[in-house]
Amino acid sequence: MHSDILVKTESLRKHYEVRSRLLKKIVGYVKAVDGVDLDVRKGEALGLVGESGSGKSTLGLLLAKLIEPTSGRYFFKGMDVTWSSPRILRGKIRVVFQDPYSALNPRLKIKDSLIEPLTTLKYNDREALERASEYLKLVGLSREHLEVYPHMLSGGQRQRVIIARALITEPEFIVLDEPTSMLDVSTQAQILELLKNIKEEKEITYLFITHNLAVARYISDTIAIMFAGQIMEIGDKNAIFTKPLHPYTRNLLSAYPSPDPLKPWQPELPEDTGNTGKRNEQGCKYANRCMFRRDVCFRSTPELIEVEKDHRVRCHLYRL
Amino acid sequence: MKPLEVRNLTIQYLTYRGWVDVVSNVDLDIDDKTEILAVAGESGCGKTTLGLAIAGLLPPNARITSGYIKIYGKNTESSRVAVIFQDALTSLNPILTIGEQIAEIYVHHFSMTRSEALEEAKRKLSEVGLPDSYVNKYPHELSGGERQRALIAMAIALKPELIVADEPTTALDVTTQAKVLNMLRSIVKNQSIPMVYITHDLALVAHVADRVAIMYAGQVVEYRDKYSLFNKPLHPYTRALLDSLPRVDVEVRELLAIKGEPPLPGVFAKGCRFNPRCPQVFDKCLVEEPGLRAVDNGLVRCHLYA
Repeated sequence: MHSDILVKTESLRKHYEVRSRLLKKIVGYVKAVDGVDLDVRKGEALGLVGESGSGKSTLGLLLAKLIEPTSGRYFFKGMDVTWSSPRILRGKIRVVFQDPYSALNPRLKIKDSLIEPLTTLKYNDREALERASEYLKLVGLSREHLEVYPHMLSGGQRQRVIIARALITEPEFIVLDEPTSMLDVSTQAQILELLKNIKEEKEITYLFITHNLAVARYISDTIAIMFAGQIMEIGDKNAIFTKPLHPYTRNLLSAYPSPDPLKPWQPELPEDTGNTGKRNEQGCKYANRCMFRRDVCFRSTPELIEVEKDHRVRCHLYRL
Repeated sequence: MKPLEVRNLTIQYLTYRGWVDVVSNVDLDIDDKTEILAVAGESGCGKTTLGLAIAGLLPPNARITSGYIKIYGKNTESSRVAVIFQDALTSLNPILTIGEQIAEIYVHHFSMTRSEALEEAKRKLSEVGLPDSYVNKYPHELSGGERQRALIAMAIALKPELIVADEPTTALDVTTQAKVLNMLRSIVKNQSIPMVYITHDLALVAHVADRVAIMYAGQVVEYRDKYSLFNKPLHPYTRALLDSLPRVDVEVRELLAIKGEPPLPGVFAKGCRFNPRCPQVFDKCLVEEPGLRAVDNGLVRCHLYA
């Protein structure tokens, strides 16, 4: 294993049981995450892009150690942490969620929310408070914000507090689940700039989960496209945007308009899209909607193969 | 007669701070029956309130303190305006089938029999790309995109004179969004039902709209046809909005974020309302409120163009 790989997963799966209403018998499984092999290099921002229901948030929860996988393995800094308690990671992995309005306790002052994650670590009250104001400054807020309550802050300011709270334990890896999707564009730009600067300064590794390809293009170094619990394509950002290989990636990219009316917006879309519709269970999961499907796509599941250096795709079209 | 004429419209809401301005002195027009007018801005800028006012659906704690809205020369009470909201699940009745909900319109307004009305409902559903069998489905059986289509079928059932679509695709995935917007656009163009398209997404505006009104703090700050607006944005706010947008089609090295936050309704800066955040602010902006001036076949509210 390369020493610069911080996060590694091997066929990670999370299947949720579906039970019948009356007898609570297991009648099936929702395969939210279905065999994910992922390497995240130290200091890199991996943009995980997918539509709703693709399993991207579940994968985020797994990597944040907030839920346990059904099967598969998860290595953090080369150590197998699949079944270990999140406590041993001691704040080395942190999460930032989408909704800045529900992530802060409304009855706690900002300073109390900020020092809470430090209570399990070795800090006395004075040190913790000093750290809290230091981290508020880092995210562009000031000392005065220590004494206020969440309702006195705007959405953007709250998200800054939440980012400060994530950073305060000096994590090496942060899972950011749609951190800007509830913010206005002007505020979103501020938060994205902040996250980018912090990453450079502190050499933190990000898993940035988003449905917005434009945001992913801005913040990420590597992009992974997820569909039906699997990574369909992963590669360097520039490769994904200038030379998308998987038919799903191409469909997605074509659906995004550019803020330039002179650039044509002609989405190439198959009849039935989205993640909520029928999925093909045997074979390629995208086969039902794919414009290039062949018989083989319904029979065998394609592997994620390396087509070019650091550019992998899960599609029979590229089988060597 | 113009499909839509809004003149000097000011709307206030009663809040715990008293009556506050949410929409201030707005002028807007739709000149043509196949026109899509986009009203774009960030949350709290007044775009949704403006849409509700055009549809005649202002809540009881709102009042119009100046100006008027005319639809083909009539006031809102005597005109037919259809509204499409963001959240289709709350706009549809969960205990009635899609068919019953559409048929209801024909039974009430055209005194059709139930079976005639259901036939008509099927026709409307096929216009929005849903199969006949959907008349018997309940809203929870439909996907997000299908629900939004059903809602559009209901909106056009009464042959409205104007459609107000408030963030119609914000809850949808991108691929579904593209299909629903293309369909809405073709309805406007083919059936000559003009539309006010309210959104926060400038990239969609660039492709869906014909003309664009950018709103900030309750006012229209720039009002132009989309090609000139995106080609050469005039108001510093419009420019800043476009500069703060991440893009899929080109590599953006640095986002130029707008400093500060949008103001709360009613708590506006003296002079130009954008002056606390404007990169090009000068003395006059702090004391005098700019009016809407005609510049480059459009209107701009900024002292730079005096």
